[in-house]
Amino acid sequence: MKMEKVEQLRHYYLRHDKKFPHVWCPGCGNGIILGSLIRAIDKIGLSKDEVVLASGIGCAGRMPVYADFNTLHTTHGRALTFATGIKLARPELNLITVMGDGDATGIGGNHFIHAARRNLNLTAIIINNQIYGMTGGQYSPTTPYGAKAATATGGHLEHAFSIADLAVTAGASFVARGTVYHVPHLDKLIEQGIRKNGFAVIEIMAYCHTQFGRRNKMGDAVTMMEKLRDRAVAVKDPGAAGSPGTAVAAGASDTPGAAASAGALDSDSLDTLDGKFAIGVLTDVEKPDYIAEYARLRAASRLNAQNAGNAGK
Amino acid sequence: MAKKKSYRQHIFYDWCKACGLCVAFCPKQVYRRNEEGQPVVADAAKCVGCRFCELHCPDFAITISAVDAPSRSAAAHTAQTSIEEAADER
Ligand SMILES: Cc1ncc(C[n+]2csc(CCOP(=O)(O)OP(=O)(O)O)c2C)c(N)n1
Ligand code: SF4
Ligand code: SF4
Ligand code: SF4
Ligand SMILES: [Mg+2]
Repeated sequence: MKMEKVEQLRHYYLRHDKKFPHVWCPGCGNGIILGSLIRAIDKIGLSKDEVVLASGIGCAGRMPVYADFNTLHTTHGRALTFATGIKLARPELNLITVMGDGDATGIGGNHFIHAARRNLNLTAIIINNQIYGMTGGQYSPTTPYGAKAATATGGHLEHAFSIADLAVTAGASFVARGTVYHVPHLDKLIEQGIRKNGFAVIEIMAYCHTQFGRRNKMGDAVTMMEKLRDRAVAVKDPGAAGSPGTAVAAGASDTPGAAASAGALDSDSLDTLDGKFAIGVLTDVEKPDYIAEYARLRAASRLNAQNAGNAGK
Repeated sequence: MAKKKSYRQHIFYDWCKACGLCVAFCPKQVYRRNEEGQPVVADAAKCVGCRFCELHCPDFAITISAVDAPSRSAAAHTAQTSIEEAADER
């Protein structure tokens, strides 16, 4: 009997020598994101050897353990640091990093903004569950004001920032936000991010029912998933009309339905437990990526050296 | 007249963690939960093949397949062959 496509993908891309079911809690969206990533890479048609998947530490950071690419499980907050080194040494490889909100914007925040500013051709997938999941629910830079955390038992006194907004401001050439509810949409965002020549950020709104949901009486995985469905509002792609970002066709319930214009939504709503937030492609601009710039400089330097040599003769 | 497609839901219980996402979000109430909280197929005939359950199962434990699709659909066969070829090349 022929295997279904989805079975082929599992056999081909998941590591056979790792223990399944995986380590994540029942209902955690991390497994859903792994599925999206695999489908996106398969759709683009990259071979496994052409892909490097690097992560830091955290529940999100466990992802490369299960996927059969060139993988690195690095130190907390340093996925982009390692990825930068690999990309500079082997520019022909496709570098994808998977990070948690704490990993990417807490301890790794400086690496994140400077990777965006540098515009090196990397894809940064950030799983925003608004908490340090792995270590027991300490608050992260995206934990909303007033929310309870292991280190904010009386309600959080600080404010969350928007990872996507931060990425735009820091200079990323592609920035998108999706959720673990809107899966076909997420597949497309990840695909676009990988294809983008430049620093691409895909912030994925997820949940940690175990460490965050429980403390904030937000219910189980099903309830938190429903919340993501209800809070997300699709924006129109700022780029070409008809591109995947505008895929807001009604029908499939996990395809975002409503369309708002970018900027109509206040990202401050991510500082609340129930405000609406935008999903879709938030920024898509063309600018020379670092590898191209470096090659240009090198060629110019060679030429200068040659000319200087000729003049001396 | 085109015959209504039917679908089979295969659950790989060894990987299922009984999270309940598939049962809760299936638009056609194809599943119900057993005592362990795992999905059991209650009414396969109602399945419309939307694959919401397959895409949202965090544990890769659900496979939906079309039954009686004309020659299991020529398109599906092409996709399958090409991925096998691609795998060989790799
Ligand atoms: C240098 C260093 N500091 C602290 C830790 C402990 N630590 C491990 S994971 C983690 C936070 C994880 O949160 P996040 O990045 O949001 O990932 P999640 O588990 O939520 O997916 C922390 C603080 C560590 N491993 N290394
Ligand atoms: S602790 Fe939270 S983030 Fe980690 S696997 Fe469990 S639900 Fe997912
Ligand atoms: S979604 Fe997957 S893991 Fe969750 S109950 Fe259904 S089959 Fe089991
Ligand atoms: S494919 Fe759709 S209709 Fe069929 S069981 Fe899954 S969620 Fe229900
Ligand atoms: Mg986190």
